[in-house]
Amino acid sequence: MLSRPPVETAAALRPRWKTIIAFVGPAAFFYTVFVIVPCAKSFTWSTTRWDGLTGKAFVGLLNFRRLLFESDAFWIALRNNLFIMIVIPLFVLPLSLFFAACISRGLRGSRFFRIVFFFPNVLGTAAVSLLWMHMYNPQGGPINAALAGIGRGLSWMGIGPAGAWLQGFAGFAWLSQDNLYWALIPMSIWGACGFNMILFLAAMESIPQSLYEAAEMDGARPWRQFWSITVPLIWDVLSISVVFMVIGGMKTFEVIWLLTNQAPTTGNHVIGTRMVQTMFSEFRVGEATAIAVLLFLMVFFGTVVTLRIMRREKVEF
Amino acid sequence: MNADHQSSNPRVAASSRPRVPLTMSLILAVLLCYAAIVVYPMIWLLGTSLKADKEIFERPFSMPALGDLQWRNFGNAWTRGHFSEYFLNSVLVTGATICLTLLLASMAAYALSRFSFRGAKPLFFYFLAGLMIPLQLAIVPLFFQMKGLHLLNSLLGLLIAYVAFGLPFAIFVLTGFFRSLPSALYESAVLDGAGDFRAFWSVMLPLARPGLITVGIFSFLGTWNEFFIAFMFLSGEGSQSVRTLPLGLADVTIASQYRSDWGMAFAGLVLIMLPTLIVYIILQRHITKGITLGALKG
Repeated sequence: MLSRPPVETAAALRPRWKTIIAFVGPAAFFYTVFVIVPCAKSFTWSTTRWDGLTGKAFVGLLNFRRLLFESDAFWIALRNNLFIMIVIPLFVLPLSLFFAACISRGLRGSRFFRIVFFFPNVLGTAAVSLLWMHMYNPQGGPINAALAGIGRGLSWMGIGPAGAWLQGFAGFAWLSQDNLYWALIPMSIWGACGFNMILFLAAMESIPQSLYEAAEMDGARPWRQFWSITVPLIWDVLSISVVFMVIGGMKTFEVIWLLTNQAPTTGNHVIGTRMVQTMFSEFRVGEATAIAVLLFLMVFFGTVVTLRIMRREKVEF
Repeated sequence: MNADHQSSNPRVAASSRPRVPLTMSLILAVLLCYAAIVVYPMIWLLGTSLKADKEIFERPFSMPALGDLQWRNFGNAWTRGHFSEYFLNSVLVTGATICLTLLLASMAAYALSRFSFRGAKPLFFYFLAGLMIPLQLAIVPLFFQMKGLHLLNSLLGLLIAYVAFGLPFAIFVLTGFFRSLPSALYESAVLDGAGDFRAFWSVMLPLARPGLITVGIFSFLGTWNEFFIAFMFLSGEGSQSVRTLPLGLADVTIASQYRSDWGMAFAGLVLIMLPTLIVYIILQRHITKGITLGALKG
């Protein structure tokens, strides 16, 4: 809220419009010209056909019809986005909740774990993707080498089938079309757990300790305390992190672009990479903006729907 | 169950945690395992960046030979891989983005939170809307706008885009900060005859330092690691000399697969990660606090 100074000083404190414009003007100018105007243009361009050089031709909703009804490419990309938005959180969220719950209850070395678990989150998606590209190298990348090594060990110990199966990972192409999205799971756990854990930890630490003490006196086991106290009281933060993952999953670009050597196959595209390809390789600018508009609508409604689903009575404490 | 009930007086309940050392050490073991998994790729990366090309994927787990550390991987990356240019470009554009974002955002946030004028609230929400807009919605028309201004394939164009897209978050955080400062300070400064700009620059801005640090850190991490806009704006002919680190690293990594020239790619990865890791180690508290601040209020 804007503060109201007392009446006698109000006149002296009310700045002139010139001052206001001097303070807000530069930011408003840059934001309007380089964010809002291009966004608005996307909406109008999405109804045109344009190769980026010659004149634009108005085509109505043709771009949307082509994208949604006349080819599978967009739907395949959307399915891949949905995988990132739904399957990956199924791994990341429970794990980060578990870590946060362990650390919040006064474990020894909790500061150490906090620092270590979070550090991949400062590295940036592009760098993380390229690092894991090396990790997943089929010939001699540490992941395949470790799996095959464990397999050899198991065989040597006489556990044949499991050993043979693991040894089969020597040369396994993690980043090929069929395996790429499964390979994203370990990488995303590595890259995203720390961030979510920090969010959950902050929420958990604001829960009064007395609630746990009372529950303990009533004989509630830690498991029960977790579900009946911790989860309801951090629900808001939980839904925020789900929203982050939905938005992030929808906007995915770098991971797929880099892990496919900047040339995704039809089956590997996400909406973000589809848009770039439509613009730079196929020179269909109108269609690229139509993809952008669809992406925006899905981010928007994805957020609204997620918040709706996750909404429940606010628990006061 | 029954035994639990009988012993459940406050004193026992308070000391009940060390009662389950088995579960506790099991949890500790799990966390330590995961910590090892989290750290290992970084150790592997550091080791590998000092190994000879032939060694890298032939013996992935071997430590680099201490007598024969391949520092020339870094030398190669720096000169032959053009990382000296990429690094300088990244430093320039990141530094300029942080300064400009902080200046513009703190001025706007100050006015939005301290000046009472009609339209302050709608304007605040106008900026806030930027938090909901995915970059992709703007990028195609922005590309052509920059092309028209002859700002494609230039660091200046990249800087403008970074500042513009960084403003909503910065204004959001800083407005919250200025609002939390006591208004009496500002009032007395103005009534003492300090101009609006002086009151802002010498009285309010120093008080908002924690907020400025938070925004600065996020601006740094976001810009230093940014790939998408850089890729869109700096991919044309002749843009080699203005590319930033993430872009250059991607080029080198992909090229290295065809030439089996791995050492340079690994050295490049270290070069891009090291500054962020150093900043993280120094400002670790600020970063995690800033994240919870930004997320929980948003």
